[in-house]
Amino acid sequence: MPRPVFNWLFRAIYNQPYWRRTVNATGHPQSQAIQNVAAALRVLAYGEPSDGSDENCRLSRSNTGEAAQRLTEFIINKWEPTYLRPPTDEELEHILARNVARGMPGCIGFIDCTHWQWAKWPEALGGQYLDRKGKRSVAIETVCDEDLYIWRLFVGCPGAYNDKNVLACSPLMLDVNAGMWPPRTYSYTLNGRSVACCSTRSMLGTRDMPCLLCLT
Amino acid sequence: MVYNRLQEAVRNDAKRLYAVWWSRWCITKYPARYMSVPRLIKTAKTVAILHNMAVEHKRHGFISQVRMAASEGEERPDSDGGRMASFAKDAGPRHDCVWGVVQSADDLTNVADGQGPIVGSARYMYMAENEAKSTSSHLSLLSDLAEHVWADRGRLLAPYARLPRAAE
Repeated sequence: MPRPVFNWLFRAIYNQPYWRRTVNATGHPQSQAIQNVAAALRVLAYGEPSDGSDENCRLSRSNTGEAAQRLTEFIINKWEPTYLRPPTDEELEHILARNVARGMPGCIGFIDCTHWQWAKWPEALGGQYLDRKGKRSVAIETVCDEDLYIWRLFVGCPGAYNDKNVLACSPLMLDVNAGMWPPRTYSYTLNGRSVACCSTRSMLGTRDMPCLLCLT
Repeated sequence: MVYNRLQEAVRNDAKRLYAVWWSRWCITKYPARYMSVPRLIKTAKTVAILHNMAVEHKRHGFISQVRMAASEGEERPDSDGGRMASFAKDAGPRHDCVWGVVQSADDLTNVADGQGPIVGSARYMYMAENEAKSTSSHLSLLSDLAEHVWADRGRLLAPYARLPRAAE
């Protein structure tokens, strides 16, 4: 994580009610904001267990766990509308122009799925989330562009689903089926014919996407 | 074959994303230790948001440029004037359809002035689904794209593949 991004995040968060430094009943000052943020980010970025940051940040296991949870909630509430949204018209035009230069006209993004393994699944969901490798996992579907900027993210599908199933129940596909995405105002010329950008064709799928949906 | 290569190269991006993401945010590399799905979802979203911030900062790419231009209300530096012509923005398809499945040039001339279904109506959604899933348009698009790529980039493969011209 680049330092300016961390600084930015820290400046946004350090004066929030939970993160502010407080004094407890005995008059001792509690942990500082930077301790909490660093511990929470260590959990996210290094995949540490909650009691792993004991030595660095001097926080207990429960404190780190709570900080991580509050950090996720804070970030999602504050930045989800800015940083996880479908491209606006202007950005879409730029993506299209770049992909034309690469030789893929009308391509809006690259779509792929992966599985995130799950160690502590509830017993009730064990069967549903059993993936093809015999582990429990959650499917993640993303649409990114050349810069690896994530334009759409869909998490939470059971691991039993393959790419096709995940796509079929993703909000992206719902939008396409409802005619809401992609915008209807773009078209491009391909082999002398004018084609509209329809995202089932404009997202590059991998080979295991179903045939109807798969390519560009 | 050219098309296949190009598609492989482009598809790499999708796979590359996970490699970068996994190595930058190790939490998704290890089995998740949360007990509930909503928490998993929240964590993944957070990581994606932070990843997007990092990308925006690192690349100084078009995203930040676009954002800056949008915030300052300035015109974006239009460095690719020639390329911009390769797609067009118009008022949307004038046919009785949602996106307009592949249209030919003559289709455009004798367009019926039907307004099409109302956006959001049941008929609109039905037609959108049909168009999105139509096999024939997919296949024709695929062949068109393959030909386009061959015409565009076929020469790059000349040392490796026997071109039809060379065989004659």
